Amino acid sequence: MQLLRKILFALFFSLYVVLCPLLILYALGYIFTPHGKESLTRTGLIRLVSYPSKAKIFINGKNTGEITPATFSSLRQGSYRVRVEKQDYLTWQADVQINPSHAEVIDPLILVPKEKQFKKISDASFDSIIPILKTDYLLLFRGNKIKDTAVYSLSKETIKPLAVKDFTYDGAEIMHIFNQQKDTQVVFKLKHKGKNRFVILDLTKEGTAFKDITSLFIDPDKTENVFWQPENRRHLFVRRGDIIDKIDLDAEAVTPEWVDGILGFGMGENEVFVLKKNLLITKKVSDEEKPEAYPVPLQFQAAFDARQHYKIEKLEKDIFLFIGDQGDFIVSRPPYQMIDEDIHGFEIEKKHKQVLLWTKHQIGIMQFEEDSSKDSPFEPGPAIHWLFTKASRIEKAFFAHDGSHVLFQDKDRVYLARSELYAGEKANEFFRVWEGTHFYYAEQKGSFYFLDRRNSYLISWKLIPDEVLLQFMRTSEQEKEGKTA
Amino acid sequence: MKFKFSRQNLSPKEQSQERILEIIPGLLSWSVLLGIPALSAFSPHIASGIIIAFMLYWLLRMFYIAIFLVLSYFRLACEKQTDWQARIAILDQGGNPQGPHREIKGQISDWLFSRDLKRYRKSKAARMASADVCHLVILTVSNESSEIVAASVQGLVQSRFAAQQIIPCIALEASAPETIRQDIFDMQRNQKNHFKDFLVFIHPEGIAGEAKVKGANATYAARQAEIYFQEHKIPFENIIVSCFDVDTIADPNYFGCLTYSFMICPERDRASFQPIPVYYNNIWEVPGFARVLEMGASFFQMIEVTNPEKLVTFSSHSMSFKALTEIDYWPVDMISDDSAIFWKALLHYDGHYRVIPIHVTVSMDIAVGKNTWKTITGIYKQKRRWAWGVENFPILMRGFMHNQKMPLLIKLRHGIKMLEGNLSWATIPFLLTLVGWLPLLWSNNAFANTTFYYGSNRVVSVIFGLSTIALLTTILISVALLPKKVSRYSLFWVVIHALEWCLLPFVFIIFSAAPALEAQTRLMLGKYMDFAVSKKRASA
Repeated sequence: MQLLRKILFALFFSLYVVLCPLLILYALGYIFTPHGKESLTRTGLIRLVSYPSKAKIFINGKNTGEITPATFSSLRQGSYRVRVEKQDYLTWQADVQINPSHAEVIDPLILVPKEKQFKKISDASFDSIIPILKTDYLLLFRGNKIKDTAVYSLSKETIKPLAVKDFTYDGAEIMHIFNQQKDTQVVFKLKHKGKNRFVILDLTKEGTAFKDITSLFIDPDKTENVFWQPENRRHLFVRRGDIIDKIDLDAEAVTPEWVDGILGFGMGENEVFVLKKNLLITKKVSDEEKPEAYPVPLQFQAAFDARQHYKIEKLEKDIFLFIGDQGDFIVSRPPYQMIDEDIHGFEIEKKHKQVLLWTKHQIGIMQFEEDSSKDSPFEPGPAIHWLFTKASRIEKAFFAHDGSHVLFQDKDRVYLARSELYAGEKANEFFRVWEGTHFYYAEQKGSFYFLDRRNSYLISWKLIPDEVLLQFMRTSEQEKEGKTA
Repeated sequence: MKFKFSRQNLSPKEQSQERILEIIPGLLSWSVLLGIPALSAFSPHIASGIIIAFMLYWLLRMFYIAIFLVLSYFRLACEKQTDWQARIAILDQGGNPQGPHREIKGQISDWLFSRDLKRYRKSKAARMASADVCHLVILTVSNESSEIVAASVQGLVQSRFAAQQIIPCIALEASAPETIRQDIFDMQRNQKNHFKDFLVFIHPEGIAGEAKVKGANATYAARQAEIYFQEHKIPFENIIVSCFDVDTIADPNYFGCLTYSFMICPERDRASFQPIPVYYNNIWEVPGFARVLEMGASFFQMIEVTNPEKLVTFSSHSMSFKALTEIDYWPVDMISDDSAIFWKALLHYDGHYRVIPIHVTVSMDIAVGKNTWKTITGIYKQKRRWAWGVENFPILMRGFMHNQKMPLLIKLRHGIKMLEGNLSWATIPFLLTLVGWLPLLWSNNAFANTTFYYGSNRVVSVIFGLSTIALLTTILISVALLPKKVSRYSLFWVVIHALEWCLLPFVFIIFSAAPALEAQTRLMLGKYMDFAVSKKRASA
């Protein structure tokens, strides 16, 4: 037994000594070609995860015999034409550039159905559609009067009038709608009998009348914006010029000029951000803690246009975005002013620290992700990569599915594209909407909502079937858990 | 070499050495457990490389273990039908092995016997007659019920070897309840005639230099027995002392096999004899997690006996009484007396001491409480006590440093095995769990866009899959060794018992790695453990 043990030990030890470096080299992507120019070559790989799964994969025109999800390793440096095919879905194709030691991860790849089965939701026409982002509701307008406005519930699939019968301001005109993402509370600025009124409504509370809160507004005529946080609906922050008034809805009280002399204003979780000429102030909503003030660098001050008011968004702990009401876009990291053109809109995706922004003809993504190569002596700044530069007139754009895809509307045409396009990869045109209106994509349902281009009925179209969506959500959840863990 | 195998009453220099050495096992384990996640966060590339190296080590180790487990199981099966009495007779009469067996197992057993016999006859060891052999079986009793003691004594009565050459010796703590004391004396009166004699010694409390540990009780009983043997003029070299946990039920072949192994051993005074301890007495009465855990403990011992060069005494075992007296008995201030006795002997005889495996089982109880929670805590404490065997490490290392006569190879062999064993015990279950989580931790990292991320995941998952084969082998053998179930033997229960193996990862973290880590941490911080008796069966 002792002898056997010694022999086996020697054998296992030798196996370990040989296998261990080989496995590590294999995992690193090295391949050995005995008669090649370079016998030891470092390769790259492609990872493909499609929704729905089980799509056939072709590389350089050859059927690999693999179906998604799949990983193709040991690929030498170069360009590979990758094609993904599934019955009843449009073929996806791109030229993927492979670099040594790098994994090209195409995950998720949403496959688009060939047949579009639009579902008519309303038998009546509407003029416009305003989604209350990341909630269950859409506001549908026929004209601009309260009485002609309806609410569509995505989950219940019902359309109901916005106001109850005999609402005092039935005939009032809607001048402005203030709402926050992920919150069903909406503040309407109305024009009633020549006077500005402010009313508030929670869309989840069916049949509940609007509450008139005009008395809490110091100067309804000069009110330009209303802010709050979904987690703290009690406090509204009202901007009039360079002044912010704070309203306490529960106490029905107002603190006039809570902050003044502001250039910009924004909100984060239980905190507000105030930009003054040379200071950025962060302040708790509750007033309990002393505000913190950060001096603004001169170069940064020079980027601002005093004629504009800036909306402040916090992307990360130390990354702030300042979006001027006339299209300025400034970030708190050098070079501060990222683009010369006026931006028409933006959307923030916090998970991957990226911002989708668009001008009239271009859509770009600004990345704040740290550069993996820390050997460089230079601090990497944010970078914009432009997805499209030749659009006719970008109306609206969204990130979808954790920033992996971008949906956008060019004039009346709606497109889907992956956030990182490869050469030869195209955006899919889906449908056209009623002239002058926008579409909405409800990520949780995998469905589009829009007004039909011919008769302006409310239409929905399911891009991702429920079973695929479930699979998708599960993967995203796992990723989130990973991040938390 | 004379060496005080204790951490008490040390010189300042020895104390400093001891303290530094006490820190090493815990520090190593914590460094690995915290180092790998920290490295994963700061340098996923290096962490991935280390993980591949670790997983390959784990895989090969699993297969290596599985091979020896199979061999050990086969050896045990070969010796199951062995007639030890007949072999002893051959040794006594100087004959040769009997005619050929029909079955392969018997043939292998005979071949092994012939080989041992040839080696024995070539050696210059003094011949010994089996009739001269005397077995002293020390059963230490603290507050265990007399039913448990009676079951162990009954096991001795049923021995196939002549009970008239066995002397049970109950080492009873003075603090034991009066009822237990009375029961033990009644047992002595009733059972005495079955044996050569039946000794009961009451271990008084408060002897200077002693801690409240089993070794102190066993040592006191052995010292009293020494006087008894001197009075009865029984030569110490003829006495085999077996120190059993009170719940130990020896296989009927145990004393036969032990006597044979003792007689045929060329240097019988320089060896301990280690049976395979299994925890089968109440295996069908305990919760599933405990069953899985103890099956693991049993097969670990089966694997250990295949490596006599590195084998260390564990739990119930036997040795020459002469050696026991020469090394001054068990440590009286240490919890892990079962392994400490071997280390003591190894140092005393300058490395010229070994453990000889004997291929029979001794069965013990799995610690159980009145309810599941008490069973959980009881088992945890028992495993922590086992893991407290790490207390031997600093003392042994000091002993190695002092002992200039012991060959370096022996020092290295035992030192490395002890350190590696403790490190693996406290870290491997945690690391295996961590390895499963790391890809998720890295999924949002820049590392997730490298070939190494996917390559290492692929390698690790293939290794996991392959190690399952080795794991299944160990499970199958463990199941094959189990005593047949008396009741509840329906398809339903077969499925339930099979599913119990799914608890394996949790069980090994909670009842193996965690107690080992706690024991090492305590030693590292100087928070020493006290001895506590495990509750064995509900009646206890």
